[in-house]
Amino acid sequence: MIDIEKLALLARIRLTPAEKEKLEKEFKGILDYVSQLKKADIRNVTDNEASKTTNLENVMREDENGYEPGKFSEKLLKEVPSVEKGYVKVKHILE
Amino acid sequence: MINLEKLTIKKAQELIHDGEISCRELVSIYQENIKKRNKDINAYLEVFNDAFEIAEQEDKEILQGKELKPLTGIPLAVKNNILIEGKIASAGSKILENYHAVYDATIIKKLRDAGAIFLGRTNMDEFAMGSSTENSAFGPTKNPYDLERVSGGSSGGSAAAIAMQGCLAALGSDTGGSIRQPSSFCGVVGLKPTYGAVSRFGLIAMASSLDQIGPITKTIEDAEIIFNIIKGKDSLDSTSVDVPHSTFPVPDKFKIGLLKYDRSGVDKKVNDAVDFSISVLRNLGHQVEEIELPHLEYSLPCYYIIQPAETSANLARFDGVKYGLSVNGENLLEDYMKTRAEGLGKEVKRRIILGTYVLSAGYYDEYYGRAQKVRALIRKDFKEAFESASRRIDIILLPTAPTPAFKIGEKIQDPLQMYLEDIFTVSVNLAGLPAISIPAPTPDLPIGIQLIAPWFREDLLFELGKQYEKSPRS
Repeated sequence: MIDIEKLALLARIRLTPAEKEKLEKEFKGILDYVSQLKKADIRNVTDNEASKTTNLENVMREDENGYEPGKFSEKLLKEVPSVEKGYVKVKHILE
Repeated sequence: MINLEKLTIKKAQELIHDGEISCRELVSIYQENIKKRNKDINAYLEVFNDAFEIAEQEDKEILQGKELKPLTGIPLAVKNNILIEGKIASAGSKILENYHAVYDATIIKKLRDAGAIFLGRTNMDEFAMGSSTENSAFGPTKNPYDLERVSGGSSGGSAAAIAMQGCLAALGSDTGGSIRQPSSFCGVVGLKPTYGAVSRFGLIAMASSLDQIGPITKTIEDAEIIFNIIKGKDSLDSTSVDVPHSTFPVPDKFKIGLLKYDRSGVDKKVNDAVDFSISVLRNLGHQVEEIELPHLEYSLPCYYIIQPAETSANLARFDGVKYGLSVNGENLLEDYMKTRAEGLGKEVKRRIILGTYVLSAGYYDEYYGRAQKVRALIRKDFKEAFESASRRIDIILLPTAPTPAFKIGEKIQDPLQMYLEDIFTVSVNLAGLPAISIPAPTPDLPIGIQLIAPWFREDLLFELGKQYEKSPRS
């Protein structure tokens, strides 16, 4: 049984009781469908192969030529919902 | 008077070069058309008021005798998940309804430098999740061929903008078919490049191992022109690479693999379009043989685990603190929960929660871990088809979508039905391959056929696509 309430809390989304009920039903259908993967024979696939599905390599660069401090601050802060003295303002998280 | 339906980037370049038309005239023609048609179709969320000024500037430069840039005066539409500095980037969502991009995406910078003019930002399924644009917070985009039908999605606004003669070409993004399927529905060409071929810096991320930006155009040649401008390594996107030069030349006669699929589950008109295309390609002297890729049947379930998983992580950034909508609650947790409840739509919530589930402790191996292994098998199937000595397929041919454009409201109540629209497109994203949807000749609603090439072989798609395009249409 899927605990939608708990998942929604983890995902930081408040759901109405009606939304919750609907999602529960839909999830059953979707999870049944994706469970087809259980039929696939994955015994010969190594973890290494599974981690290389995008063919990406690590890209490194020297830590130099940084931006001058404050170059983008004004533009970025303009989009922030709550600002005080040039800082992003959030509610306290520690009691 | 110009015949807009027949106008391509290539032709417009010539007209501007020869002084037959000015950049201002071209922009005005499209703006007039948008004014007439957009209220019914809803392809554009906003038409930019600075397009004419930019055209004016370019006309001045032409008069001064400056050399024309590759896209001088070419009017483009941009999917609204691609950042243009100073313009709203809503991604089709209430949560970003008033968010102004603070920088240009790399591809926007490249196209701007090439002289292109951005006419406006186009509608899309919210955060690119959907196959019909019905998930947009700003209403669906209707299909220019039949206003009761969808334009496809998620780049439906971009595809419809071209089909309604509201721009010359457009940009889209494709995570599981979002460029190709709307292109099929709207009768235009849609290219999903190889993973890594085009920088995604400035694209609002959905599923980072699958997302790719690409052009939507009227012709293959136009897609090639735009691709050549936007491709290449970008130091701001470490997943981007320079497209390597292939050691294998483009063949005279292609070996084409027709992917075996369950024809009973596909609209007859789509099957007919595939059959017709095979005969066209055979008449051109190419070899067509049926092929089977054993793990492809798992593509869609595999995609609907990996994609929600990555989505749930990427969309965590929309929390009401840094940008976008912010709803006040009793404490920070309440702020998050209320902001996301109000700002995100049904489908986005569904996928974030689904992604949270498949990544959660106890289920990770069963779902995400297994899906990544199946993904490796799908990739291997393609590799063998393209590279094993006994097969050496140059191009794989299959439908783009199982149906032509469907009616608005037909699938929106059943998420699984909507997901099945992606059945022929998601394997390409899982494997990171390039693919293109090309309009097939049809009596009524448009239908696209899809060509898939080996990694970084967009050149093969362009060559075969052009031959197909030029062949007799009946």
